[in-house]
Parts: sequence; structure tokens; C-alpha cells
Amino acid sequence: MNEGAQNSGRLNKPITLPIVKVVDEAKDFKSFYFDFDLDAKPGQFVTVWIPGVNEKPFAVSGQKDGLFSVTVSAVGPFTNKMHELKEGDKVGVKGPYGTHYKISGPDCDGTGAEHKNLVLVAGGYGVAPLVFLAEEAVGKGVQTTMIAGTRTKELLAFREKLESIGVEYLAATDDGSEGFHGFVTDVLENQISQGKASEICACGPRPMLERVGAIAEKHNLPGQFGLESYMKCGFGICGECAVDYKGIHICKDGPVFPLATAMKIFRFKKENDNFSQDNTDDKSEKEVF
Amino acid sequence: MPNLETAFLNKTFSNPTVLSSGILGVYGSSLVRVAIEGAGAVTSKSISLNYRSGHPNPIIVEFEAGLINAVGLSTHGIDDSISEISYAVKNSPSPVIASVFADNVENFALVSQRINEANPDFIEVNISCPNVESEFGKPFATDPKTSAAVTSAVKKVSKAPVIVKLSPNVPNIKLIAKSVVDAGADAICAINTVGPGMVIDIESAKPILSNKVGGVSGPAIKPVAVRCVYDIFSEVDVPIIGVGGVTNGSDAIEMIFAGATAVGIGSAVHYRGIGVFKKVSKEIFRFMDTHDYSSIEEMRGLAHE
Repeated sequence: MNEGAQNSGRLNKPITLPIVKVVDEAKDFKSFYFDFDLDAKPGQFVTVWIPGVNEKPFAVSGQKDGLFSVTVSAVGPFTNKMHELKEGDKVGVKGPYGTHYKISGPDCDGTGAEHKNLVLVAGGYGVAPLVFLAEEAVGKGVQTTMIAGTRTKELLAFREKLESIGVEYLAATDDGSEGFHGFVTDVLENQISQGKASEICACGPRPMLERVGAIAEKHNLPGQFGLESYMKCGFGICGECAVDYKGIHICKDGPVFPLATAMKIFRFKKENDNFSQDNTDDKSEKEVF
Repeated sequence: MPNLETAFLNKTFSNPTVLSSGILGVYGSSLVRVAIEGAGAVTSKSISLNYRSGHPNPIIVEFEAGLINAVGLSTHGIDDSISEISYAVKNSPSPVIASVFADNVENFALVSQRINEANPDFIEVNISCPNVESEFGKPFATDPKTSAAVTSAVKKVSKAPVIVKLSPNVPNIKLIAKSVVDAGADAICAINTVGPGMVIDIESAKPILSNKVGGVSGPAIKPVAVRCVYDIFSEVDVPIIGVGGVTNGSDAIEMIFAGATAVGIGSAVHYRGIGVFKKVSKEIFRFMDTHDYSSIEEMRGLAHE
């Protein structure tokens, strides 16, 4: 019956799962592991419900051996509460939801490109879904580079894990405390000029995504972009996360969009000054895909 | 060949399906998309004078036969809402219904007056949201006198024809229907959600919705909706938008046989995607074709004969 549902046939009702493992990935950045056969694809998200607190969307950061994880930064009331949770504590999980990064098949991105050098560009906590993607890409024999940018070295995450599976890891920090002193976009331009990029998958803050998109367009490289938004229902019916003049809903039409769609969303100009789409409540609670 | 065109007051819908209030109707862009995807008319999420954050998540949860929601009437306030409705009115291929709500009769008039600026094709007066009782007292729709007072206050100021949305959670919906029509309602939309209901998570022993209770929608409430539309049709002589659990063409036909002029679709957007309007229209067409009906009008209220 659920032709429109994306929830693997399950009801859109939280399933209670105990946290089986908590791993510190970086400063205020933790992975929470669950023992559940989620069957998610890289870029998809789940919602996590803490009874009596709230429910928020998070990208799946890994899925292996019957476990899956989300990796969460403590940036607001909900995520601070989540960081207090320990192994054995239970939360409610729904999903997986949304579109995903596609890295296999002869014409997986509609361009017919082969995936020789996949470059993942992560801004801040946007690294979470790209770690999952990197694992899948490597598993399919795709040569993969992760360009990870943060403000400073304490916020960099997943280097060991990625290098251990053969991913080239390039860091960029705003303060130069590790890796390249500057932006991920500079590192990306450098990779492209060396002929070491055939496709870009990115996730991070909107300004970074816009710049990465412009670079991909300039060099005529295919790209896929993970966007984030304030969400309410998470499964495509409340309409809170519509982002542009086409009524595209981030939760169900996204969060992962091909380059052309992402650029249309980025370039969307408000019809008039009042045509606002982001004056929702807890903006401080900036969650990460 | 069957004709799906549906005359509704001063407009003609290309088909009888209508996007119900509260689903996908926050932004003008979404309303336009739903209209392009085949809805005969689209209804905005309910608009109020002031910004309201609504309830924290979870605001919606699915159960075996439908959905329970308590969004808490979150709105962006009147100025932003006017922009969104204006955008929809300018760009939608189908008529646009602006849904409004308020906490008292005066504010119902104020918000309706303001919404004139956006030139919606119709205004729908939401006197029946079951999720805000603690703040506003009982829903207006449970009392014939209050329902009539809101209706006439809105009717006095609205430039657009007035549709009043009724609650099923009353002992006799005919009484309410008669009172709002006597007060000047041009049409009725029925029903809003049933309940409220509750879903409890048995692992945490807690209600899942942050508001604990919420309005019940989806297939579970269809028989209640059909009965309400049947009752209203037998009592008053205004067009009815029949809403509640309509998921496919057969459900829509049932509503029309009960007396509905147009048929609202909400929760089914979840079950069948945004393409549900086209799918239901096609299913209505096929039924009409195989049963030799040529117009929606000739099917209306047939269950009463």
C-alpha cells in the first residue's frame, strides 16, 4: 500500500533501540552504534527520538556487520542531551529516509561517467554521511579521496578509519593546525588540476556546497550534494522543508541531489522580500546530515 | 467519455481532488507543485495572525490504519503567509484555498481580512483543529453558536467565498452544518481529524507525540467521514468538500455518493506519494467509464436516493 513511503515497509513509528557502542570521533563529536539491520544507503538519514525531549534527523555514518551508526555533534539542546547517553540507553529510531549518493552502475549519475577518482568533500560535521559513502565506494573498488575541512585540528574525525581502508585523507583547517591551511575548495582545485578527480560528492555547510558546486560546474565534473534543512515530519508530508520555487522537499526529494538540481536550489532567489523559508523555531539546533 | 470537471461555487476544478489543509501546504512553492501534480484545488496549512512554533517533534506518528498528528498549528505569521499564498495564487494552475484559524472571533475576522491581500480563490475557516484545546478551550466547531459567530465574522470581511471546516467530534454534525450555513457559509469542508487519539511506545512507556495526543487521519476514519458528509448533505444545500481517509478512486466515489462535490486528500500523500491526485483522478475516471457515468455531478448524493 505504501507506494509513497520510503521506510522499507515499516510503519513511520519509532523503533526502540539500545545504544550498543559510543565512540568519540573528535571534540564534541560522537558516533552512536545500534544493533539493527537498517538497510540504509549512504546519504540517507534516520530520525532519533529521545522521549520527552525531541526528535531530530541525522545522517547514517556507517553500516556494517548488522550495526549502523549516526555521528552527532553537540551543538544544541537535543544533541547535548544525546551526548549524555551511554551504552545501553535506548532511543527511538525511524528510517532510513531520503535519497542517497549513487556510485555504481554504468550511468548512475545520469552522465555516463565512470568513477575513477571519487573525491568526497566534507565541511565540518558533514563528514558523517561521506564516511559511510567512502566505505561503500572502496568496497566497489573505486579509488576514493576524502577532503575534510574543519576550523581546527581537534574537530577532524575519521582519519584513521578512512586511511585503514585505503582512502586518501586530506585535511584542511581554517587555522592551519593540521593539513592544508585554508579551505577544502583550495584542496579540491588542486586535486582537479592534478587530474585526480572524476566525480565529487559533498556534504557540509551551504556556502561550502555552493563553492564546491561552482567548481564542479567550471570543470564539468559530475557531482552529488547532501543538503540539510530544518525538518518536522521527516517523511514528506508536512511541507516544512520545501526549499525552492519547485516545492522540492529536502526530506523526501533529497537530502542528496545531483549537481544540476543542487545548483538550481542554491541559485533560487526569493520572489520577494517576504518569501522566507527559514524562519522556523530552534535555528540554534543545527543538525548535520 | 467521463468528464472529471467539477463546478465548485464560482470556480471549476479540473477534477474533484483537493489537497487538504495541513499536508505540504506551508510554502507557496509546495502548493504550486501539488497543483501541477494534478490536484483540482489546493489548500494551505492553516494561517494565523502571529507566529507559532507549534509542538516539538515527534509531531506525527503512523499506526496500522492511519496517522496521528499534533503539529500544534505552527505558522509563520500573517505577513509571511500572505507572501506564500500570493505566490501560490499567481503560479498555481488550480484554485487556491487559504485556510485560517484564530483564538477568538475577532481574530478570525482580522486574519481573514488580511488574507484578502493574497487574493485566494476561497477561504477555509478552520474551526475544528483538535490539537490546541488546552490553549484555546474547546474547538469552536463543537458549539453551533460559536461556529455561527466565527462564520458570520469571516463572511463579513472576506472577499473570497467562505468554506467552513467542521469537526467530526460532535454528537450531531447536522446542527453545526445548519448553524454555519445559516450564518452565511458558502460551502462546508468535512471532516477534520478524529479524536484526539494516542499512540504509546511500549518500550519507553511514553506517548510518542510530544503533545501526547493528536488528530487521527487516514483510512481508519473514512467511515466516519463518509457518514458526516452524508449527514451534512441531507441537512444543507451548499457544496461539500469531503475529507477523511480518501486514498483511492473508490474512496472518492464513496464520498461523492455520500454528497461531496469535491474530495479532499491528505494522509494519502504519504501512502501514494505526491502523484496521488493524478492516480485518484484516473481511478475515478475508470470507475465512471465502466459504470456509465458521464459527470461528477450526476453521481453526487446518489446514496441518498
